[in-house]
Amino acid sequence: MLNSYDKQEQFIRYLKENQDQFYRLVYSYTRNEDDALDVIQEAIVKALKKLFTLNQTQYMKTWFYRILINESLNFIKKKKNLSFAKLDPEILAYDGKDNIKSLEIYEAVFTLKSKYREIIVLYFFEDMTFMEIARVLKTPPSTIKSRFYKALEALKKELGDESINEKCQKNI
Amino acid sequence: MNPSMKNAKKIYDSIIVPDRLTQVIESTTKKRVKRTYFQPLLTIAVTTCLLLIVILPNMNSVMAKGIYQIPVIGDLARIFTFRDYHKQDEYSVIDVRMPEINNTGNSFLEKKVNEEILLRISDIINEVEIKARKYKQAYLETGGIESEFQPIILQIDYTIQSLTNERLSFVITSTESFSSSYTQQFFYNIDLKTGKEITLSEMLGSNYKEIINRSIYQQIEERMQQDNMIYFDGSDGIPGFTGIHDQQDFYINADGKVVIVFAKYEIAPGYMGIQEFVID
Repeated sequence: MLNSYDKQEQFIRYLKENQDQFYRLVYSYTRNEDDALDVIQEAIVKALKKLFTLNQTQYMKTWFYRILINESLNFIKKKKNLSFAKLDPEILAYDGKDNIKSLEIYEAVFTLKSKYREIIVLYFFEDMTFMEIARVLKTPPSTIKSRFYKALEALKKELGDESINEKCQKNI
Repeated sequence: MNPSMKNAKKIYDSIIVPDRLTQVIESTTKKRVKRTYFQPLLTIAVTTCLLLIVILPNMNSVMAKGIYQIPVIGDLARIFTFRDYHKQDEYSVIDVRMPEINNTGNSFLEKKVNEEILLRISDIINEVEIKARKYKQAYLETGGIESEFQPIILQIDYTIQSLTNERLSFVITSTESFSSSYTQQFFYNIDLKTGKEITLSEMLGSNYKEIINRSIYQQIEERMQQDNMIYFDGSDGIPGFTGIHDQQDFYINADGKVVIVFAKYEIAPGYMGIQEFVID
Protein backbone atom coordinates (compact mmCIF):
# COMPACT_ATOMS: atom_id res chain seq x y z
CA MET A 1 0.00 0.00 0.00
CA LEU A 2 1.54 3.30 -1.06
CA ASN A 3 1.28 6.23 1.24
CA SER A 4 -0.67 9.17 -0.09
CA TYR A 5 2.41 11.12 -1.03
CA ASP A 6 3.85 8.32 -3.18
CA LYS A 7 0.46 7.69 -4.67
CA GLN A 8 0.18 11.30 -5.68
CA GLU A 9 3.66 11.27 -7.16
CA GLN A 10 2.80 8.16 -9.12
CA PHE A 11 -0.40 9.69 -10.37
CA ILE A 12 1.29 12.88 -11.52
CA ARG A 13 3.93 10.82 -13.31
CA TYR A 14 1.18 8.81 -14.98
CA LEU A 15 -0.55 12.02 -16.08
CA LYS A 16 2.57 13.45 -17.62
CA GLU A 17 3.47 10.27 -19.43
CA ASN A 18 0.05 9.95 -21.00
CA GLN A 19 -1.05 13.54 -21.35
CA ASP A 20 -1.20 13.48 -25.16
CA GLN A 21 -3.62 10.55 -25.09
CA PHE A 22 -5.86 12.36 -22.64
CA TYR A 23 -5.86 15.43 -24.82
CA ARG A 24 -6.87 13.50 -27.96
CA LEU A 25 -9.66 11.78 -26.12
CA VAL A 26 -11.04 14.97 -24.61
CA TYR A 27 -10.52 16.99 -27.78
CA SER A 28 -12.60 14.43 -29.65
CA TYR A 29 -15.48 15.41 -27.40
CA THR A 30 -14.95 19.16 -27.09
CA ARG A 31 -13.58 19.86 -30.61
CA ASN A 32 -12.00 22.98 -29.27
CA GLU A 33 -8.55 23.46 -27.77
CA ASP A 34 -9.50 25.80 -24.94
CA ASP A 35 -12.40 23.64 -23.86
CA ALA A 36 -10.29 20.49 -24.03
CA LEU A 37 -7.66 22.02 -21.76
CA ASP A 38 -10.37 23.16 -19.34
CA VAL A 39 -11.91 19.72 -19.19
CA ILE A 40 -8.54 18.07 -18.62
CA GLN A 41 -7.72 20.50 -15.88
CA GLU A 42 -11.07 19.91 -14.21
CA ALA A 43 -10.57 16.15 -14.45
CA ILE A 44 -7.12 16.37 -12.84
CA VAL A 45 -8.40 18.54 -10.02
CA LYS A 46 -11.21 16.06 -9.36
CA ALA A 47 -8.83 13.13 -9.58
CA LEU A 48 -6.37 14.66 -7.14
CA LYS A 49 -9.18 15.30 -4.72
CA LYS A 50 -10.45 11.77 -5.01
CA LEU A 51 -7.08 10.08 -5.16
CA PHE A 52 -7.44 8.82 -1.62
CA THR A 53 -10.36 6.65 -2.76
CA LEU A 54 -8.14 4.78 -5.20
CA ASN A 55 -6.89 1.87 -3.15
CA GLN A 56 -5.21 -0.16 -5.83
CA THR A 57 -2.89 1.79 -8.06
CA GLN A 58 -3.00 -0.82 -10.82
CA TYR A 59 -6.46 0.56 -11.58
CA MET A 60 -5.16 4.11 -11.89
CA LYS A 61 -5.61 4.11 -15.65
CA THR A 62 -9.22 2.96 -15.79
CA TRP A 63 -10.02 5.05 -12.74
CA PHE A 64 -8.68 8.22 -14.34
CA TYR A 65 -10.30 7.49 -17.71
CA ARG A 66 -13.62 7.25 -15.97
CA ILE A 67 -13.12 10.73 -14.53
CA LEU A 68 -11.90 12.04 -17.86
CA ILE A 69 -14.87 10.65 -19.76
CA ASN A 70 -17.35 11.83 -17.16
CA GLU A 71 -15.91 15.31 -17.35
CA SER A 72 -16.07 15.25 -21.14
CA LEU A 73 -19.68 14.14 -21.07
CA ASN A 74 -20.52 16.80 -18.50
CA PHE A 75 -19.03 19.33 -20.84
CA ILE A 76 -21.19 18.19 -23.73
CA LYS A 77 -24.24 18.25 -21.51
CA LYS A 78 -23.49 21.77 -20.35
CA LYS A 79 -22.90 22.98 -23.89
CA LYS A 80 -26.06 21.23 -25.03
CA ASN A 81 -24.17 20.50 -28.20
CA LEU A 82 -26.27 17.83 -29.73
CA SER A 83 -24.03 17.52 -32.71
CA PHE A 84 -20.28 17.73 -32.67
CA ALA A 85 -18.45 20.38 -34.56
CA LYS A 86 -16.65 18.72 -37.44
CA LEU A 87 -13.01 17.98 -36.83
CA ASP A 88 -10.90 20.65 -38.39
CA PRO A 89 -8.33 18.90 -40.62
CA GLU A 90 -5.99 21.77 -39.72
CA ILE A 91 -5.37 20.21 -36.34
CA LEU A 92 -4.32 16.89 -37.83
CA ALA A 93 -0.71 15.93 -38.26
CA TYR A 94 -1.72 12.93 -40.36
CA ASP A 95 -2.04 13.24 -44.05
CA GLY A 96 -2.72 9.89 -45.52
CA LYS A 97 -4.45 9.77 -48.86
CA ASP A 98 -7.53 8.05 -47.45
CA ASN A 99 -8.08 11.01 -45.19
CA ILE A 100 -11.63 11.72 -46.16
CA LYS A 101 -12.91 8.21 -45.63
CA SER A 102 -11.01 7.94 -42.36
CA LEU A 103 -12.37 11.25 -41.17
CA GLU A 104 -15.85 10.08 -42.02
CA ILE A 105 -15.42 6.99 -39.88
CA TYR A 106 -13.92 8.98 -37.05
CA GLU A 107 -16.87 11.38 -37.15
CA ALA A 108 -19.36 8.52 -37.38
CA VAL A 109 -17.99 7.11 -34.14
CA PHE A 110 -18.81 10.35 -32.37
CA THR A 111 -22.35 10.41 -33.68
CA LEU A 112 -23.09 7.12 -31.97
CA LYS A 113 -25.25 7.02 -28.87
CA SER A 114 -23.19 7.58 -25.74
CA LYS A 115 -23.54 3.99 -24.53
CA TYR A 116 -21.98 2.77 -27.80
CA ARG A 117 -19.64 5.64 -28.51
CA GLU A 118 -17.48 5.37 -25.38
CA ILE A 119 -16.96 1.66 -25.95
CA ILE A 120 -15.82 2.14 -29.52
CA VAL A 121 -13.53 5.04 -28.60
CA LEU A 122 -11.88 3.15 -25.78
CA TYR A 123 -11.60 -0.07 -27.74
CA PHE A 124 -10.28 1.22 -31.05
CA PHE A 125 -8.67 4.53 -30.20
CA GLU A 126 -7.39 3.86 -26.71
CA ASP A 127 -6.64 0.18 -27.31
CA MET A 128 -8.39 -0.98 -24.16
CA THR A 129 -9.57 -4.49 -23.51
CA PHE A 130 -13.22 -5.25 -22.71
CA MET A 131 -12.18 -5.78 -19.11
CA GLU A 132 -10.63 -2.35 -18.92
CA ILE A 133 -13.59 -0.73 -20.64
CA ALA A 134 -15.89 -2.46 -18.18
CA ARG A 135 -13.97 -0.87 -15.33
CA VAL A 136 -13.93 2.57 -16.91
CA LEU A 137 -17.66 2.53 -17.57
CA LYS A 138 -18.56 0.55 -14.46
CA THR A 139 -20.57 -1.86 -16.57
CA PRO A 140 -20.26 -5.66 -16.63
CA PRO A 141 -17.87 -6.98 -19.34
CA SER A 142 -20.65 -9.07 -20.88
CA THR A 143 -22.77 -5.95 -21.40
CA ILE A 144 -19.78 -4.13 -22.85
CA LYS A 145 -19.26 -6.95 -25.28
CA SER A 146 -22.82 -7.07 -26.51
CA ARG A 147 -22.99 -3.30 -26.80
CA PHE A 148 -19.71 -3.37 -28.70
CA TYR A 149 -21.24 -5.54 -31.42
CA LYS A 150 -24.36 -3.44 -31.50
CA ALA A 151 -22.17 -0.38 -31.86
CA LEU A 152 -20.40 -1.92 -34.86
CA GLU A 153 -23.81 -2.65 -36.37
CA ALA A 154 -24.83 0.94 -35.91
CA LEU A 155 -21.58 2.15 -37.48
CA LYS A 156 -22.10 -0.15 -40.43
CA LYS A 157 -25.54 1.26 -40.97
CA GLU A 158 -24.21 4.79 -40.77
CA LEU A 159 -21.35 4.27 -43.19
CA GLY A 160 -22.55 1.56 -45.52
CA ASP A 161 -21.69 -2.10 -45.19
CA GLU A 162 -18.30 -2.17 -46.81
CA SER A 163 -16.62 0.19 -44.34
CA ILE A 164 -16.80 -1.66 -41.11
CA ASN A 165 -15.84 -5.22 -40.78
CA GLU A 166 -17.18 -6.59 -37.57
CA LYS A 167 -14.57 -9.32 -37.34
CA CYS A 168 -12.26 -8.13 -34.66
CA GLN A 169 -8.96 -9.84 -34.16
CA LYS A 170 -8.05 -8.17 -30.96
CA ASN A 171 -7.97 -10.41 -27.94
CA ILE A 172 -10.05 -9.63 -24.94
CA MET B 1 -8.30 -4.40 -35.96
CA ASN B 2 -10.10 -3.93 -39.23
CA PRO B 3 -8.48 -1.52 -41.68
CA SER B 4 -11.13 1.18 -41.65
CA MET B 5 -11.06 1.56 -37.88
CA LYS B 6 -7.30 1.58 -38.09
CA ASN B 7 -7.51 4.62 -40.32
CA ALA B 8 -9.94 6.32 -38.00
CA LYS B 9 -7.45 5.71 -35.22
CA LYS B 10 -4.79 7.36 -37.34
CA ILE B 11 -6.97 10.44 -37.44
CA TYR B 12 -7.42 10.26 -33.71
CA ASP B 13 -3.71 9.79 -33.07
CA SER B 14 -2.80 12.65 -35.32
CA ILE B 15 -4.76 15.27 -33.41
CA ILE B 16 -2.10 17.83 -32.69
CA VAL B 17 -1.48 18.35 -29.02
CA PRO B 18 -0.81 21.98 -28.12
CA ASP B 19 2.23 22.92 -26.06
CA ARG B 20 -0.09 24.55 -23.59
CA LEU B 21 -1.19 21.14 -22.40
CA THR B 22 2.10 20.62 -20.58
CA GLN B 23 1.72 23.99 -18.87
CA VAL B 24 -1.83 23.22 -17.85
CA ILE B 25 -0.86 19.86 -16.37
CA GLU B 26 2.22 21.29 -14.73
CA SER B 27 0.39 24.14 -13.06
CA THR B 28 -2.62 22.05 -12.08
CA THR B 29 -0.56 19.39 -10.38
CA LYS B 30 1.87 21.81 -8.79
CA LYS B 31 -0.75 24.13 -7.39
CA ARG B 32 -2.84 21.38 -5.91
CA VAL B 33 -0.13 19.18 -4.54
CA LYS B 34 -0.18 20.66 -1.06
CA ARG B 35 -3.86 20.77 -0.36
CA THR B 36 -5.14 17.95 -2.40
CA TYR B 37 -5.87 15.33 0.16
CA PHE B 38 -7.60 17.52 2.56
CA GLN B 39 -9.86 19.53 0.37
CA PRO B 40 -12.47 16.92 -0.37
CA LEU B 41 -12.52 15.97 3.23
CA LEU B 42 -12.85 19.53 4.40
CA THR B 43 -15.93 20.09 2.34
CA ILE B 44 -17.66 17.52 4.49
CA ALA B 45 -16.45 19.16 7.67
CA VAL B 46 -19.24 19.98 10.02
CA THR B 47 -17.60 20.68 13.35
CA THR B 48 -19.00 23.87 14.77
CA CYS B 49 -18.57 23.66 18.53
CA LEU B 50 -15.38 25.65 18.87
CA LEU B 51 -14.43 28.49 21.08
CA LEU B 52 -15.31 31.62 19.21
CA ILE B 53 -12.08 33.38 20.08
CA VAL B 54 -10.08 30.57 18.54
CA ILE B 55 -12.05 30.18 15.38
CA LEU B 56 -12.33 33.85 14.53
CA PRO B 57 -8.66 34.35 13.72
CA ASN B 58 -9.02 31.52 11.28
CA MET B 59 -12.06 32.86 9.58
CA ASN B 60 -11.33 36.47 9.10
CA SER B 61 -8.04 38.15 8.58
CA VAL B 62 -9.30 41.55 9.69
CA MET B 63 -10.51 40.05 12.92
CA ALA B 64 -7.23 38.23 13.31
CA LYS B 65 -5.36 41.48 12.93
CA GLY B 66 -7.42 42.98 15.74
CA ILE B 67 -6.62 40.11 18.00
CA TYR B 68 -2.87 40.55 17.43
CA GLN B 69 -3.01 43.43 19.83
CA ILE B 70 -4.00 41.23 22.70
CA PRO B 71 -0.88 39.58 24.12
CA VAL B 72 -0.59 35.78 24.14
CA ILE B 73 -3.72 35.14 22.11
CA GLY B 74 -2.25 37.54 19.57
CA ASP B 75 0.85 35.45 18.98
CA LEU B 76 -1.08 32.24 18.84
CA ALA B 77 -3.62 33.63 16.44
CA ARG B 78 -0.91 35.04 14.28
CA ILE B 79 1.18 31.93 14.09
CA PHE B 80 -1.25 29.08 14.59
CA THR B 81 -4.31 28.49 12.58
CA PHE B 82 -6.00 25.17 12.26
CA ARG B 83 -8.36 23.30 10.09
CA ASP B 84 -11.07 21.01 11.27
CA TYR B 85 -12.11 17.84 9.67
CA HIS B 86 -14.88 15.63 10.85
CA LYS B 87 -16.18 12.55 9.17
CA GLN B 88 -18.42 9.83 10.42
CA ASP B 89 -19.68 6.74 8.70
CA GLU B 90 -20.52 3.16 9.56
CA TYR B 91 -16.84 2.27 9.75
CA SER B 92 -15.17 5.09 11.56
CA VAL B 93 -15.53 8.37 13.39
CA ILE B 94 -12.75 10.78 12.54
CA ASP B 95 -12.09 14.04 14.28
CA VAL B 96 -9.10 16.09 13.27
CA ARG B 97 -7.79 19.45 14.31
CA MET B 98 -4.84 20.07 12.09
CA PRO B 99 -2.47 22.91 12.94
CA GLU B 100 -0.90 25.16 10.38
CA ILE B 101 1.84 27.66 11.05
CA ASN B 102 1.92 31.05 9.37
CA ASN B 103 3.51 34.46 9.77
CA THR B 104 6.73 33.16 11.26
CA GLY B 105 8.62 35.31 8.79
CA ASN B 106 9.99 32.20 7.12
CA SER B 107 7.65 31.00 4.45
CA PHE B 108 9.90 28.17 3.33
CA LEU B 109 9.83 26.74 6.79
CA GLU B 110 6.08 27.16 7.05
CA LYS B 111 5.54 25.38 3.78
CA LYS B 112 7.79 22.52 4.75
CA VAL B 113 6.25 22.04 8.16
CA ASN B 114 2.67 22.45 6.97
CA GLU B 115 3.14 20.03 4.13
CA GLU B 116 4.67 17.47 6.39
CA ILE B 117 1.83 17.80 8.87
CA LEU B 118 -0.72 17.49 6.11
CA LEU B 119 0.89 14.38 4.68
CA ARG B 120 1.28 12.75 8.06
CA ILE B 121 -2.30 13.37 8.99
CA SER B 122 -3.74 12.33 5.66
CA ASP B 123 -1.70 9.13 5.80
CA ILE B 124 -3.07 8.34 9.22
CA ILE B 125 -6.63 9.02 8.05
CA ASN B 126 -6.15 6.88 4.97
CA GLU B 127 -4.77 4.01 6.99
CA VAL B 128 -7.52 4.18 9.56
CA GLU B 129 -10.23 4.25 6.90
CA ILE B 130 -8.82 1.21 5.18
CA LYS B 131 -8.31 -0.59 8.44
CA ALA B 132 -11.83 0.23 9.61
CA ARG B 133 -13.32 -1.32 6.48
CA LYS B 134 -11.25 -4.44 6.92
CA TYR B 135 -12.21 -4.70 10.58
CA LYS B 136 -15.86 -4.43 9.81
CA GLN B 137 -15.63 -7.01 7.07
CA ALA B 138 -13.74 -9.41 9.34
CA TYR B 139 -16.20 -8.71 12.13
CA LEU B 140 -19.19 -9.58 9.95
CA GLU B 141 -17.50 -12.59 8.40
CA THR B 142 -16.81 -14.05 11.80
CA GLY B 143 -20.47 -13.79 12.79
CA GLY B 144 -20.56 -10.31 14.32
CA ILE B 145 -23.88 -8.51 14.38
CA GLU B 146 -23.84 -5.43 12.21
CA SER B 147 -25.82 -3.25 14.61
CA GLU B 148 -23.32 -3.98 17.38
CA PHE B 149 -20.26 -3.00 15.41
CA GLN B 150 -18.28 -0.26 17.10
CA PRO B 151 -16.62 2.05 14.60
CA ILE B 152 -12.97 2.96 14.98
CA ILE B 153 -12.54 6.37 16.53
CA LEU B 154 -9.64 8.50 15.37
CA GLN B 155 -8.82 11.75 17.08
CA ILE B 156 -5.98 14.00 16.05
CA ASP B 157 -5.23 17.17 17.94
CA TYR B 158 -2.29 19.33 18.81
CA THR B 159 -0.86 21.00 21.88
CA ILE B 160 1.27 24.10 21.81
CA GLN B 161 3.96 23.51 24.40
CA SER B 162 5.67 26.85 24.14
CA LEU B 163 5.90 29.86 21.91
CA THR B 164 8.34 32.73 22.25
CA ASN B 165 9.81 35.11 19.74
CA GLU B 166 12.58 32.65 19.17
CA ARG B 167 11.02 29.27 19.53
CA LEU B 168 7.96 27.27 18.78
CA SER B 169 7.30 23.85 20.22
CA PHE B 170 4.18 21.81 19.63
CA VAL B 171 3.05 18.22 19.64
CA ILE B 172 0.49 16.52 17.43
CA THR B 173 -1.25 13.59 19.03
CA SER B 174 -3.17 10.99 17.13
CA THR B 175 -5.28 8.48 19.03
CA GLU B 176 -7.00 5.59 17.44
CA SER B 177 -9.50 3.69 19.56
CA PHE B 178 -10.87 0.36 18.62
CA SER B 179 -10.66 -2.62 20.94
CA SER B 180 -7.67 -0.91 22.48
CA SER B 181 -6.27 2.49 21.83
CA TYR B 182 -3.17 3.47 19.97
CA THR B 183 -1.51 6.85 20.29
CA GLN B 184 1.15 8.37 18.11
CA GLN B 185 2.80 11.71 18.73
CA PHE B 186 4.76 13.98 16.45
CA PHE B 187 7.03 16.63 17.86
CA TYR B 188 7.89 19.95 16.32
CA ASN B 189 10.52 22.26 17.82
CA ILE B 190 11.30 25.13 15.57
CA ASP B 191 13.79 27.95 15.80
CA LEU B 192 11.80 30.84 14.43
CA LYS B 193 14.92 32.88 13.73
CA THR B 194 16.75 30.36 11.59
CA GLY B 195 13.74 28.32 10.53
CA LYS B 196 15.53 25.14 11.55
CA GLU B 197 14.50 22.37 13.79
CA ILE B 198 15.92 22.80 17.29
CA THR B 199 18.25 20.02 18.36
CA LEU B 200 18.90 18.75 21.83
CA SER B 201 22.53 19.79 21.62
CA GLU B 202 21.48 23.37 20.93
CA MET B 203 19.35 23.27 24.03
CA LEU B 204 21.72 21.47 26.39
CA GLY B 205 25.18 21.57 24.86
CA SER B 206 27.25 18.93 23.14
CA ASN B 207 27.20 16.54 26.09
CA TYR B 208 23.40 16.60 26.07
CA LYS B 209 23.15 12.80 26.01
CA GLU B 210 24.97 12.44 29.30
CA ILE B 211 22.97 15.22 30.91
CA ILE B 212 19.65 13.78 29.77
CA ASN B 213 20.48 10.17 30.54
CA ARG B 214 21.71 10.99 34.01
CA SER B 215 18.60 13.02 34.72
CA ILE B 216 16.24 10.35 33.42
CA TYR B 217 17.91 7.52 35.37
CA GLN B 218 17.61 9.63 38.48
CA GLN B 219 13.98 10.51 37.88
CA ILE B 220 13.07 6.90 37.17
CA GLU B 221 14.70 5.91 40.42
CA GLU B 222 12.79 8.59 42.34
CA ARG B 223 9.46 7.75 40.76
CA MET B 224 9.85 4.04 41.48
CA GLN B 225 10.56 4.77 45.13
CA GLN B 226 8.18 7.60 45.83
CA ASP B 227 5.24 6.85 43.61
CA ASN B 228 5.59 3.09 43.25
CA MET B 229 5.71 3.50 39.51
CA ILE B 230 7.11 0.65 37.48
CA TYR B 231 9.64 0.92 34.69
CA PHE B 232 11.14 -1.91 32.72
CA ASP B 233 14.58 -2.75 34.07
CA GLY B 234 15.54 -5.69 31.91
CA SER B 235 14.41 -8.31 34.44
CA ASP B 236 11.47 -9.52 32.34
CA GLY B 237 13.40 -9.43 29.11
CA ILE B 238 12.42 -5.89 28.17
CA PRO B 239 15.44 -3.62 28.32
CA GLY B 240 13.62 -0.46 29.43
CA PHE B 241 15.48 2.83 29.44
CA THR B 242 19.06 2.45 28.28
CA GLY B 243 19.76 5.98 27.12
CA ILE B 244 18.07 8.33 24.69
CA HIS B 245 17.93 7.73 20.93
CA ASP B 246 19.56 9.88 18.32
CA GLN B 247 16.09 10.89 17.16
CA GLN B 248 14.69 11.33 20.61
CA ASP B 249 11.22 12.83 20.86
CA PHE B 250 11.04 15.96 22.97
CA TYR B 251 9.34 19.28 23.30
CA ILE B 252 10.16 22.56 25.01
CA ASN B 253 7.82 23.50 27.83
CA ALA B 254 6.60 26.92 28.88
CA ASP B 255 9.60 27.30 31.21
CA GLY B 256 11.88 26.81 28.24
CA LYS B 257 12.98 23.41 29.51
CA VAL B 258 13.46 20.29 27.46
CA VAL B 259 10.88 17.59 28.08
CA ILE B 260 11.87 14.12 26.90
CA VAL B 261 8.93 11.93 25.88
CA PHE B 262 8.66 8.17 25.57
CA ALA B 263 5.76 6.46 23.90
CA LYS B 264 3.56 4.01 25.74
CA TYR B 265 5.31 0.63 26.17
CA GLU B 266 8.67 2.13 25.30
CA ILE B 267 10.25 2.13 28.73
CA ALA B 268 7.37 1.14 31.01
CA PRO B 269 4.35 -1.18 31.01
CA GLY B 270 1.46 0.01 28.89
CA TYR B 271 -0.77 1.08 31.76
CA MET B 272 1.85 3.69 32.69
CA GLY B 273 1.08 5.44 29.43
CA ILE B 274 3.29 8.08 27.83
CA GLN B 275 6.28 8.98 29.99
CA GLU B 276 7.68 12.48 30.18
CA PHE B 277 10.82 13.75 31.88
CA VAL B 278 11.60 17.43 32.40
CA ILE B 279 15.35 17.98 32.13
CA ASP B 280 16.53 20.67 34.55
